[in-house]
Amino acid sequence: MDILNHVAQSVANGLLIGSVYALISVGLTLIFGVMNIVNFAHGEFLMVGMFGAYFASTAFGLDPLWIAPLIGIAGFLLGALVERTIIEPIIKAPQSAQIIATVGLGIILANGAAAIFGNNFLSVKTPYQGETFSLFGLHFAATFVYAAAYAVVMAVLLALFLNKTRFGKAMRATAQNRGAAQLLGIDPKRMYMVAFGLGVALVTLAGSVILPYTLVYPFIGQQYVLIMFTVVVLGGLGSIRGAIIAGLVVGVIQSLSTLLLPSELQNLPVFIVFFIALVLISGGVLSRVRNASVKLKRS
Amino acid sequence: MRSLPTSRPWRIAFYLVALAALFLAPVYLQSSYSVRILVLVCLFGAASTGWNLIGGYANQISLGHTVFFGIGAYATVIFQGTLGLSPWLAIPTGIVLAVIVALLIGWPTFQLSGHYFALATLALLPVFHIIATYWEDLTGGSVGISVPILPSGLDTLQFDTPTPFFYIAAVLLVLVMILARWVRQSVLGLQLDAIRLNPQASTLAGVNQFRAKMKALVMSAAVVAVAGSLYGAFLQFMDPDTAFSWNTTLNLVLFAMVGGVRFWWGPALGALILIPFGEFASAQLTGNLAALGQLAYGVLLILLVLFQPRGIGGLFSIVWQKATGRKL
Repeated sequence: MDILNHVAQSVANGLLIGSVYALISVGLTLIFGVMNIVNFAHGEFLMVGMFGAYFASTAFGLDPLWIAPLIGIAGFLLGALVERTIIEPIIKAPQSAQIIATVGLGIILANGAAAIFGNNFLSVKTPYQGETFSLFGLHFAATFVYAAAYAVVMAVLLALFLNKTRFGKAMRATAQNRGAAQLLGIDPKRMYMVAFGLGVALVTLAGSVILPYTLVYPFIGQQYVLIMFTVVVLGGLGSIRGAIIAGLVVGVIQSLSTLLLPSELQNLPVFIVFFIALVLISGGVLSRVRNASVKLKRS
Repeated sequence: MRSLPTSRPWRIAFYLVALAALFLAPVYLQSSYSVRILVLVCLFGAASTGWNLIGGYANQISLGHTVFFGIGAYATVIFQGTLGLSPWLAIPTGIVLAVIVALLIGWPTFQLSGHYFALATLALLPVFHIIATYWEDLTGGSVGISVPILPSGLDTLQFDTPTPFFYIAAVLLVLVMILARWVRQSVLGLQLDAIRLNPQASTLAGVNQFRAKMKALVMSAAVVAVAGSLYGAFLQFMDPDTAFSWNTTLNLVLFAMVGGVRFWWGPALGALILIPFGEFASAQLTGNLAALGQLAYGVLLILLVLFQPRGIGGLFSIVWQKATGRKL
């Protein structure tokens, strides 16, 4: 019974953290889906969001959870600016150029933060940091619950945007077939700018949301890179629904692994999942599973 | 047919002068500090040339080559520091381990097109950092391993001055550059070129992309592992942050990009320019400003991609073509 309780608690924690993983990764997969570019600076944009929230919190006493939407809007503008200046010229360049450019962007962001804030671990204080909720004999840290709630709200808003608005539909059309979308009068450049801005907005907002339970320092993006890539690859590059499910899966796996492994090693099983996902994709297993499920739906 | 020289004797003369300039460097650079920097130029130049075999020739960007470098480096310090064995035995061990990792990462990712290779290699880095930090029995954990001071000589790779080590590093650089030149002009080099220029067409032309990329990756990993082994011997110390640092990956990519990824001498040229510059910058910039040197690296990468993707080698070849009317 005790073990069962441990496992249940661990799965619940994993779902909470996993929804945050989905939130930090969904922008990466959105950018890839629309623009066919892997943004290697995505972890650094998370860091920018965290520092933005840290600055707002220490300078103006604002709670990171309240300031998060503003951080997201600022992130959108930053992302749109970056897209116009750096990404737009290389959108048709070879993949290697895109990798190098976004890696270079990440270096600039991380070291820019290091030059301004120094190479220190920083954190914010919020009144709810010690609070926990209890439900069915399980306990949840308030900071994680609020972050997960944000993730759910953002997922719903993103789904509404992509499925119900004209602009969102145009963006999906661009993702599916750039040429056909252009023939129908959709300006792909505008879609790229908005998609990149939206991707950055989501991850900077996420940075603000996770700040109450974690530390921030200029090179923290590196720590999240593995998780982001695992989520995006496992969910299928470019699939938003896939990324959300994969985020939850990765969170649960990581959380369950702490029952067996020291918590410092919790990224090791994540990497193993990542590697297995790669092997499965290269063997065509995942696409076969997907095709099979499509057939099931039809019948 | 590419790169017919203007005349063969001239080219051989140029190579001889360059070799003499390299091997006589300790004579005209009198401070041992400069020689130490030259050792770094040779080791990282060799490693970057190794990266370029897959990253530049085939345009398959690896962001995890530090892993091969770190494996080689740890092999040396574990052999010398913990086991009391010769560093010369560590070099083949490092090669074997690096090649195994390379096969494991290449096998699934090279069957896929697109971004998977870059993603997978980047994910490799934090994993090896974790392993090196928590497998304390093997690696000494986050404290690292130091090699005790041994009698100096070729068998221990420890010397009283940096000059003998420089000659070893220079020999490595020359050998690696010969390998890079040979690959460039071999059938494999042509296949990699085809993959870089047009993957679909290369398959139509009968290139087995998977095999060509795997061959290049294995060679690349082996070269970088040897450079790492010598780096471990040179520092006589290794810890997870030194072995598996993101900066090493970055440097390997940057040297190749600056020098010119399409040229077998490009990465070495990049290292020769950027390492002394980096040493100078890090001596001038301290505290928070130290980050500015790195920031400049990022800016340089983006500027290169946007305006001069072929690097200094590209500029040089344009000038060469104007002057001689022939392609470099």
